[in-house]
Amino acid sequence: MTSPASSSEVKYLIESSEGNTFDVSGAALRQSNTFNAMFLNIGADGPIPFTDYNEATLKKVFEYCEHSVNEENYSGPKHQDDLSKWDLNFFNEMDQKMFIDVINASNFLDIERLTSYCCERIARMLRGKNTQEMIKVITLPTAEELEAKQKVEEKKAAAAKKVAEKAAETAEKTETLEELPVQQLVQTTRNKLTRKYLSFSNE
Amino acid sequence: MSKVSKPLPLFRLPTLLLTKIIRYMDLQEILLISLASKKSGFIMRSLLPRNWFNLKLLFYIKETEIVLGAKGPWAPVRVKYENGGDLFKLQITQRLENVFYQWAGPQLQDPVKLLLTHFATVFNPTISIYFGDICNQEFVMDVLPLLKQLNLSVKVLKFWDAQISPETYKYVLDEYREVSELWLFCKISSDFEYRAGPDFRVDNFRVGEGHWMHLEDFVNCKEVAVYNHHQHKQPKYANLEEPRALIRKWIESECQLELFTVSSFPDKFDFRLVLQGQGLRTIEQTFSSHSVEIIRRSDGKKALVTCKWGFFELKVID
Repeated sequence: MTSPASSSEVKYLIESSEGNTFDVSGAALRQSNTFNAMFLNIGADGPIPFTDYNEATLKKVFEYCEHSVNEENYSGPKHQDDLSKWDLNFFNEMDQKMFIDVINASNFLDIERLTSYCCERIARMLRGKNTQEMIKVITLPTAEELEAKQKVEEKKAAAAKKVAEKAAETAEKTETLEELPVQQLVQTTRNKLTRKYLSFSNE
Repeated sequence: MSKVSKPLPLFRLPTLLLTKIIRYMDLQEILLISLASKKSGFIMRSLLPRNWFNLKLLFYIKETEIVLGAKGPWAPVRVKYENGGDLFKLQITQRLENVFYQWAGPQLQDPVKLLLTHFATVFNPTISIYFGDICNQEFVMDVLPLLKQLNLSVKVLKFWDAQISPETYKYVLDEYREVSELWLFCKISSDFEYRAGPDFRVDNFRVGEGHWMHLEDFVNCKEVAVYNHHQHKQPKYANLEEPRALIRKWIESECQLELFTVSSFPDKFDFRLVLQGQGLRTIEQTFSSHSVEIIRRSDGKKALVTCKWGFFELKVID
């Protein structure tokens, strides 16, 4: 499906959580550091499984990437007042659930520009508000939710640790990355990102 | 996302994203969101970098305010003080003087204690505190032990015309012997006595009314300045023995002292007498001033001792 020296015309197949596949250009996909870490140099023979996210979310994320292909190199977030009409429409047409899904997917795919815009947008939702007004904009977690979130994160960390150990064992056995199947590459990269995330959270 | 239909479940986002989001928020917004509930305070604490914040508290008639500062891009947040008759208020305000949040209580220490407790939880700032002319004994002894209890690190502690008892004065000397700056410019009774141990290591120590001081006790401070603001006729240090003991201690120890100035004004004790008959190498001698060089035994470090009417200085020069 791809070649390592991919040009902007090269298309990649992306697989969503529903099992659906769709095309994304290499140029758009290269905005994802997660993709770069996984496939840029080795290519992928088959659909790339981003199966934690649904088709609508992934399409939205890559719509943004396709649009910003020709934008100059990223140099920090734009001020929201400087956003183009297209950018504003892009954000405004999303409902809240989609926005949350997009920011999560963008965070996983490590698309710096989109993630930063989303983060800045959330920060702006709170700008100029007092505490009472902020409470109307954001949901404060209950003690149970906090506990549940902590448990999930602990569970994820434990699982990631387990998988990482397994992957490390596998990596020792595998001589080159090219020999790894795509699914395993995805998993290995996920593990790496999870470890990175955990170490960041623990700082 | 153009119109917010229901509240955004902000705190359900992954920690990494939340950390990015707060980088785009003003410090005031972070503070306000941390005040939304106890839980949001704890969440914000977990997201904020450690050792980034400092809190400056000023309590003067002309200027009372509390400023939360931070390293990095965050502009400081000013908490304003208002004495509204029956209530003392500390307020976070926005443009047009809109009050965004306030702590209040019948005594000044009430809102200050509430604020300190919250700031300690969320920001764990270092503290610079200036007890000025609106502070009385009760206020000081309500606030200082709370700082200890909250485990806040005090960097700067200054008293300027605050009314405190000898017991509090002693408490301050006992408890804040390793802060960066300790200034004691407040009245203290003539019979006050205190001896500081070798662990008294304030970087910048200034005493407005130093009649009680044994100079050699403070040789492990970096900079010391002693004054006679309340015009004691015979400060303890204005004699031949105290400055000589300081000089001897500096020569014989490995202390970190860099500068020690003493003024007995308006008492015009002639500190030049201190240098007489000591066998020290004179560097300069004029009608009003006498300077000698002293050399430390352990490392050969040099200092210049200058004595005048009502003035003594020991300054490390090499």
